[in-house]
Amino acid sequence: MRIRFLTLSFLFTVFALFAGMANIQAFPEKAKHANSNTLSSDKSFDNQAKDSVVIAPKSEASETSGTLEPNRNRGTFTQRLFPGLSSENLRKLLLDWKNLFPDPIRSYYVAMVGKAFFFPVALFLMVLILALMGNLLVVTGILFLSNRIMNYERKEKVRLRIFFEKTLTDLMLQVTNTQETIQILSHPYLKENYNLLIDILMEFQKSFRGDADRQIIELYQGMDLGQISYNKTFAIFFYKQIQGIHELANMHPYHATEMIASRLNDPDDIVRTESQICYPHVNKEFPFEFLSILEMPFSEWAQLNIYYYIKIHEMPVPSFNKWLGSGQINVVNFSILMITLFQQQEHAEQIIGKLKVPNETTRHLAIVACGELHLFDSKAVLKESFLGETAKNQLEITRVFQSIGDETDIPFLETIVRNESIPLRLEGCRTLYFLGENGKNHLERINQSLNDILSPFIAHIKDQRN
Amino acid sequence: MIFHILSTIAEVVILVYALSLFLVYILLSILSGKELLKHFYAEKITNYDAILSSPFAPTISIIAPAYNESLTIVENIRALLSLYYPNFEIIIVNDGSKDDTLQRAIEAYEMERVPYVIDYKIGCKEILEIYKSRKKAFNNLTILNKVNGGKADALNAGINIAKGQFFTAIDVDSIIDPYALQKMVLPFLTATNKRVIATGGVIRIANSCKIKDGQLIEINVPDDFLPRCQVIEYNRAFLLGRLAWSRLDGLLLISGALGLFDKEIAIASGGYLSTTVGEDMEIVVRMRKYMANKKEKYSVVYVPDPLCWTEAPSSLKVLGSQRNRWTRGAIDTLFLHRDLFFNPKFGVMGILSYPYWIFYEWLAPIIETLGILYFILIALFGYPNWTFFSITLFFVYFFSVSFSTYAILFDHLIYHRYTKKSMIFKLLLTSWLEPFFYHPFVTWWALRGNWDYFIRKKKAWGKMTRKGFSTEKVPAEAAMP
Repeated sequence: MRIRFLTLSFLFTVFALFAGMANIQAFPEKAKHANSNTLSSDKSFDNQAKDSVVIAPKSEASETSGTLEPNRNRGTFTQRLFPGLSSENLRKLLLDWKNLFPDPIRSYYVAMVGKAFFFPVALFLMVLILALMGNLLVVTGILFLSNRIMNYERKEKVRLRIFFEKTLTDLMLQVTNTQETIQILSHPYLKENYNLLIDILMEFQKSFRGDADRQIIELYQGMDLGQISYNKTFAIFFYKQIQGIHELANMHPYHATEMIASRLNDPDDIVRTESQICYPHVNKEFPFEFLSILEMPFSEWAQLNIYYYIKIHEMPVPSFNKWLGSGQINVVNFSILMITLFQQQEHAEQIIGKLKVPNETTRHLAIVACGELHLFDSKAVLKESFLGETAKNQLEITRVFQSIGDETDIPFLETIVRNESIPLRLEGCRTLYFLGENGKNHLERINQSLNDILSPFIAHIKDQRN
Repeated sequence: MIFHILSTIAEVVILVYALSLFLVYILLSILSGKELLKHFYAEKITNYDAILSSPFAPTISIIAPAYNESLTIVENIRALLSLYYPNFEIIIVNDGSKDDTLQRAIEAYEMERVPYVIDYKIGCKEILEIYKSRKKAFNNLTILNKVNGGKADALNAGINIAKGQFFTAIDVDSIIDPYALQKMVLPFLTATNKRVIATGGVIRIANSCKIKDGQLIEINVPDDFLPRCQVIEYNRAFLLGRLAWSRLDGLLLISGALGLFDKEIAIASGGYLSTTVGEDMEIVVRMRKYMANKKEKYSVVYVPDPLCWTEAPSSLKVLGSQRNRWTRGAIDTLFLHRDLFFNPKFGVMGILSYPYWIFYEWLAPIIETLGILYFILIALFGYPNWTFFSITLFFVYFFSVSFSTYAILFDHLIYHRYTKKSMIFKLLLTSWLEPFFYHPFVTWWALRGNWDYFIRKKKAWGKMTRKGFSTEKVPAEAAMP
């Protein structure tokens, strides 16, 4: 409450200061009325303007003008705004621009310039208006010009893409050899578009295996495109750096290994994630070794991409139990997932051990793993921990018994079916029902004892679409 | 003398308000520009293929409430079924339609009633039936028939049967980009030090665009003036506003047309509030408050990609009704959560976002109107300084046009959707005319919204009639009570 009061007080102070300044700067008209003794009221407006334009030291009037006194010093505002430029010169300059305007507007413009020098805020706004108008013209120009350039580039990119793809297809089909292809692609105009060529080479590399794959790498290296990629890794922009890392990781792993390893714990989220994703590319022999040196978080996105990479390249995977003790919780969770996906049943003991860790997500993944890996030894621990688990994990434990449960688990499942939680009851019914004939019969008996309260649940789980 | 003092106070307040508004807009634009560039480049290096074939891809439930959508329901479901994502279900919630919406969907997708136990985790009107398809190809489609209760209630019903880890709330008559789910789920996967609780995307105007089978096949600038003004308005709001708030971690609103939410947090915070017409903003604020109260690190992320295309109202009456509802919804949320006001406990949301909404979203049309009334008053007494007035007017006008032009530029440089010169010209021209011919209406509707909220205590949605996307301009009513 106190802090909120302080915040409010601060806001009001800022507001008051701002308002005070605005009052001084924005309302000369009222200042004139309020301090009529300081300025002769019978002076014509233009004369007043002229008087006020003078960048003068404090006038006699201002010395006696009370609270609104800074109004009289407003001439110095222009000086402060444009140091080195006298306001008289500026006025002349602005008046000279009158010829830029058509006749009907010209006189109005001249009057406005004249008056603007009486109202510094107005002058400031006029300068801003001119700036905004200029800015609008420039932005409009950029819009149309960039549209033209982008349309041209789009068409050109399509044309070049067709050309590059045709040239590379010729190489793949051995219509041309590597040297001839390098010669064709060395045309000075094409050199400006090597970034596009690298993109296409990477796309080809993804689609081809064996000799074709080797030819693409040969071409990349033969044309010294690695240097372009390498230079990108030192670019100012993060995306260029990452592009460079990606290109090197795919096309020139030897060149990239050290660089990628050095960025695995980069403080920038994007650079770090992309380096982690690229690591398996550059260290095909030990693609997961980086997990041992990770000090920074390992995002789900990086995990997903790495799994994708090893899946499409059918890479051998190591035993993930060595990272189950990692200090990084993301690494532990990833390892459990990998153990589950690659059916590494030999790590059953460690997985069961993870059913008692404090982290809920880790426990959840371990429960899923117990089911997927059919770890029958985990049943006792699962039953024991059931009551202390979160609702989400209780539900998962119930599901797991569909894979590892047998008739000896019927009493445990009965307690779940009799539970008042609808999702638990539903899952309990499902597990019992799919436990075999004994399970089905037992479920029917429970239903009768509960006055058919379970009938809708049984109907629900019997329909496989639910 | 008293008049003089009062007028001075009024002028100072209006001036300070206007200056601060300009300053806020400039700051938001700078932040947005920076963020937009970052996103643009990050997009270039993101490999979405990885998510399409991954067992890691989180499950998503798409919840689409439908009320009297008979003419378009079949096409809309077809479009949803063709989204590119490996692991999603579609839940169409028939919110007690009075036409044959349900029947048409049942027939088109060979649906049949299934026995279903519903766990009412969040309160909603009675769910009458659940339908699933006999065809395996549609096994991720569920139709839920319930008693009419409004959009928020329909969404709550959908959440109650949703199986996904996340759910996305959409307007069934909007066109969702086929890649929308992949893009919206990405922030949930990349976050490492905080929990992302919701994401939203850019909503675009589809009037005059060519649509086939629920897919956008040609993008055009709307032919009508009103939708065109809304293109400019949406560009400003999404590209210069929300993105900056997302960067500041103070985003309070995710459009009802498309948003992806963490189901666990949404349920824990009570789901959608069915007594408000601003349910889309209210749920975001409540989810944020829930996380702040739990003292957990979280964020609401905005994805600056055009992921959803919707038909903008092209008549003054319908547009007025929509804006009236938006105003009432915003006021309702602001009043319901008034404890946020400058409350540092809620971080950026309490210190910046909430006061911003109070001062620059809710009060803006009121202060603007007061300013105009005050000016008329002093004009009648012959007091105004016409020179200063005209200069200020020019300044405000050019500032406003500049702001719109930058929004068009950002959109053009990043997405390059409007490729023809004539399209850009139309948009620029609209941005020049909009302050005179569109903005006054928006202000008026906002005032009406205030009047309806405070004086008439109106809570209803109002009629929202759409022309429909097809060139034949089929009338399709999308009214929610």
